Amino acid sequence: MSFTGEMVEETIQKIFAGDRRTASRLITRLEDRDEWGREVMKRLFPRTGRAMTLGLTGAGGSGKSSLLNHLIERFRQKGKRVGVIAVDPSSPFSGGAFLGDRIRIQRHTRDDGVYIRSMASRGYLGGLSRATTEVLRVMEAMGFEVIMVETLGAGQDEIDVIRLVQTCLLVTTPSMGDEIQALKAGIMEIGDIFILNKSDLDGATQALRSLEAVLTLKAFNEGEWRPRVVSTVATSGEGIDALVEEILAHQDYLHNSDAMERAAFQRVEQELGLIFRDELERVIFKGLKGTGKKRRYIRSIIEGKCDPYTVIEEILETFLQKR
Amino acid sequence: MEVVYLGMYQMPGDIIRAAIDEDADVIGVSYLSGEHLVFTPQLIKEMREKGLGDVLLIAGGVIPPEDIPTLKKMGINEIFISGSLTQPIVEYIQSHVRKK
Repeated sequence: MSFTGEMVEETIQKIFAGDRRTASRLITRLEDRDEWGREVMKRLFPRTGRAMTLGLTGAGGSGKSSLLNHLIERFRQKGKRVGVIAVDPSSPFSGGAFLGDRIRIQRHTRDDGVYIRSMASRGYLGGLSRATTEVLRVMEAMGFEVIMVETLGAGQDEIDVIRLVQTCLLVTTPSMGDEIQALKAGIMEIGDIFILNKSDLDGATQALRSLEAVLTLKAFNEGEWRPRVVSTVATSGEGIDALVEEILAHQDYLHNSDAMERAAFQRVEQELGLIFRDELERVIFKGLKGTGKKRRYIRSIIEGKCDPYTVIEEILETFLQKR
Repeated sequence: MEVVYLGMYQMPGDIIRAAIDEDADVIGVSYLSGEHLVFTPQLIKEMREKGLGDVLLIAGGVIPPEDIPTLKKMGINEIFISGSLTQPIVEYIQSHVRKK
């Protein structure tokens, strides 16, 4: 689809003015990797990067959405405009997705100071999708001051989200195997704040001790943020005050140290990587689309006539020759 | 297809706002308490006021077959009452949804 400079400019102005409809259409086009979207992002980018960004990760059913509901309310009470990106998995088979996070936070829907967007992971191989990082920028451009990203809670993307946001909240519950889970690779390195939700359930005390014990295994430098653990019961609102306090404490820590700079660096580094790989793949494989070549390559590899390395070399050579 | 599920007890305003923010191509309403004749005009009105005229509107649930013509006249594009199979719904959407 062709676009004009004026269309881009008009869109930019509307985004900065907080126009929801324009933003939501832009987001759709960013998800579809539209070229026009790219032009808009180029112009939006310089005016982003100033929001408080939070990541909420944890297994399905741990209560992320319920906690999100409370957090939205608290930040709204403080007069902040809140953006929410809720990511759910796409079916690797049909490509479709059931985006069911809104249901827990739907009561904020008509609040003009809240913008909720559900996103499907769309089988993104690298974990967190490029589109999610772009939507975060769009919400910043719209003027949202606190933006929360709720992830799938299914592995790789949890690691990625911590590089995207400033404060990462990891949600767990007493029934989740406690010590063993906590010891599993990476978990304790992910969160800035660990939330033990459903802490009214049996085993909560042991789970809390396990979490705290596991966190002592990691060595921290002088002045470095030591992850906090907060117990909550999302259904009743218990522990939310303490949670908000810890979030603000972490934000303070970021602002008063060079950690904020590091966070900003990591975020851009990650975005660069995602966009680069995405664009590269798109451009290099552009010539293959619809030609049946890919199928022929795969067939010839199966038949032993060729191998993946040679195929890729050939594709790259073709691409480089054309430049 | 990506389905954003809003849950029960939605008011027209909630549905419209969500449809705008999520840039929905289709709105699907499930009527379970006999409110379809009262709710539908409100929903259609808001859709038109907020510029969602090209968004497909389908409905299902507990709807007496004799009300279907009325609902369609009000502006619902298609109705799939309880017992409808998934495939016809999918095919309907795929063939009638607005092009990007």
